Amino acid sequence: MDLVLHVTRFQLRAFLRNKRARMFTLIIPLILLALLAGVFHGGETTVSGVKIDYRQFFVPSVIVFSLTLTTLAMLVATVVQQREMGILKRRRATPMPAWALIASQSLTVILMAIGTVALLLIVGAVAFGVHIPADGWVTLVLGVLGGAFAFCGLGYALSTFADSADSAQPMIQLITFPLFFISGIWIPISELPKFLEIVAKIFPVEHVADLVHRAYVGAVPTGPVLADFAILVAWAAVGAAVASKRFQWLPPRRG
Amino acid sequence: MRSGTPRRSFLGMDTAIRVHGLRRSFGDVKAVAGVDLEVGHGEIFAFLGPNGAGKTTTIEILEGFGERDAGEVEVLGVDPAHGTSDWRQRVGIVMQESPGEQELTVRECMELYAGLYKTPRPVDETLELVGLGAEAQEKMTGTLSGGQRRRLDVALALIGDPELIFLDEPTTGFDPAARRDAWKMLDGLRDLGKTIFLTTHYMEEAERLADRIAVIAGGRIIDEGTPATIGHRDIAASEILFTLPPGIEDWELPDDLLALMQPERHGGRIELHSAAPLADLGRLGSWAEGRGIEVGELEVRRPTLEDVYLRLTAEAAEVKTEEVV
Repeated sequence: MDLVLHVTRFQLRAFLRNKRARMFTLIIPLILLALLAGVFHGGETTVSGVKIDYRQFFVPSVIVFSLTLTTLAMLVATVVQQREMGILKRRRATPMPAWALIASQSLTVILMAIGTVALLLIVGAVAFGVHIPADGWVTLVLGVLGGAFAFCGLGYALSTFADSADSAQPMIQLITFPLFFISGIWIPISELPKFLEIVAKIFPVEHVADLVHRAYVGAVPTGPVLADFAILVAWAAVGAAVASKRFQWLPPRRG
Repeated sequence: MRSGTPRRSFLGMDTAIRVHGLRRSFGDVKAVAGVDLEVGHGEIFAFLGPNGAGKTTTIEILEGFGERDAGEVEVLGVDPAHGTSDWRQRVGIVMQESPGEQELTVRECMELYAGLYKTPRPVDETLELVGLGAEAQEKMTGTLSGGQRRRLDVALALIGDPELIFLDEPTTGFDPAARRDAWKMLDGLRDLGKTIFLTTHYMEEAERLADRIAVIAGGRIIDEGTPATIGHRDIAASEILFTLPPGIEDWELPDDLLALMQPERHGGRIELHSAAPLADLGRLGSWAEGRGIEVGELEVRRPTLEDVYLRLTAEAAEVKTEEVV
C-alpha cells in the first residue's frame, strides 16, 4: 500500500504539470459551468419529481461530465500512452506487483476527479448559488465513488482496444459523447424518447448522473439511489473482468 | 551446422542465465526454434542477430514478459515466467527506445523508481555513475537529448542495484562521441561485477564490450564464442589488398599468390586470402622487386567482427532458403 501511495504521489505531480490534463480536468469543466449555469437560468425542469431551476440542473451535470472525463478519458489516455511508450513495461519490470500498479493508476485519476468535483461544488455554490442540501451528501459520495469505480474498470477495459494514444482519443469521444447526450446531462432525461432512456439506463453515465442530480435535490440513499450504485459497481466488475483477460503491459509490436 | 557445437558453462562460474531448447512460435512463424544459451555471473554477453531473427522474443522471455512454447529457462535460478517480486529486485531492464516519464524531472523519476525497490542504490551515486550531472538532474525527462535519455534509462535500470541487467540496443542512434561515453559507462558496470545481457547492431560495440557473443538467425543460435574466436575469426584468413601499376596484369603474379586471389575486386584492389600473411607478403615483395615495380594501396587486415557476423548471418539465410526450396 505504501508503494501505491508512493507512485500516486509522483503521478499526481506529473498530471498537475501536464497542460492537457489541466485543460481536461479544470479548464473545460469551469468554462462549461460558466456557460451553462450563466446562460440557462430561469427555466425549470424536474428531477426525481422535484421542480428545479436550470442552474440546479446544470451544476451537477457539469460535475458528471468532468468526473467522466477525468476518470474514464484520462485513464484510457494515460494507460494507452504509457503502454505505447514502454512505461508500463518498465514499471512492470520493477518489484511492484501488478495490482499495485493498477491501483496507483486508478487512485491517481480518482483523486484528480475528487479534486475537480470539489472545485465545481465550490464554484457552483459561490458563483451560482447552487447548494447541495445536507440530505444529499451521502448520495453525492456514492455517485462520485460509484462513477469513479465504474469508469476506472471500464477505462482499463477500453485501454485494451486502442494501441496508440492517437487512436484512444477518438474512441473515447465516440463512446462518451452519445452517452452524455442520452444520459440526462445536457438534456433532462424526461425530455428524451422513451427508448433512448432505456438505452441510457444500460450504461453507467446515466446512473452517475442520476445520483449526482438526486444529491442536488437532497435525495437520501434509498431504493433508486442504491440501485444506481449497484449498477455502477457491476460495471466496474465487468470492466475489470474484460481488462484482466485482455490487458497487455508490453508496447504493441511494430513491423 | 555450428548450432550443434556443445556449449560448456564457464568453469568456476555459476550461471546467471541458462536456456535450453527454447521455442516460441507466433502462428506459423517460428520466432525462436530451439535456442540454448548460458551466461555466467559477471559476464558481458552480447546477443547479436538481424532484425526478425528472434532476438526480441528471446529477451522478452528472459525478462519474464513473453510466453514460451517449450524449453527450460532459468534466470538467476528462477523461471522468469514465474518471476516473483523478489526476483524483480535482482533484474534490471533497459528497453529499446523509451521516452521516459513525461512531466517529471530526472531526479524525480529516479526517486519514483528508487521507492519501488527494497534496497535501492543511492540516487546521486547512480546518476553520477551514468554521467548525468547536476544540471541534467533538474531537467524534465521530456526535454533530454537522446544520449541523456539513454543514460536515464540505464540509471533507472540500475537503481534497484540489480545483479543482472538486460541492455537492449543501448546506443542506437548515438553519435560516435556519445557512443564512446556510453561504453565507458558500461565499463563502469563491468567493474561493479554486474552480469550484462546486451543486444546491439554495432559490431564495434560488441567487440569492445562483450566477453562472449552469440549470433542468432532464423530463431537458432548459429555461432557462439569470444569476440576474437567467433566464426573461427582467430584462424580465418587475413586479407591482403593492393593494386598493380598500369600495364601489369594480375595474371602476371606468381602462381602461389594467384591461387590465393579472390575472383572479385575489393574496391578496385586485388584481394588475396592468406593463412600465412607474412610469408605471402614476402613473396609479393620479392616478385615486385624483381619486376622493378611498387604495389599501390597495400593493406593487410584481419576479418573484422562485422565481416564474420555478415558471413555467418548470410550463410544462415542461404541455408534457410535451401530448406524452403
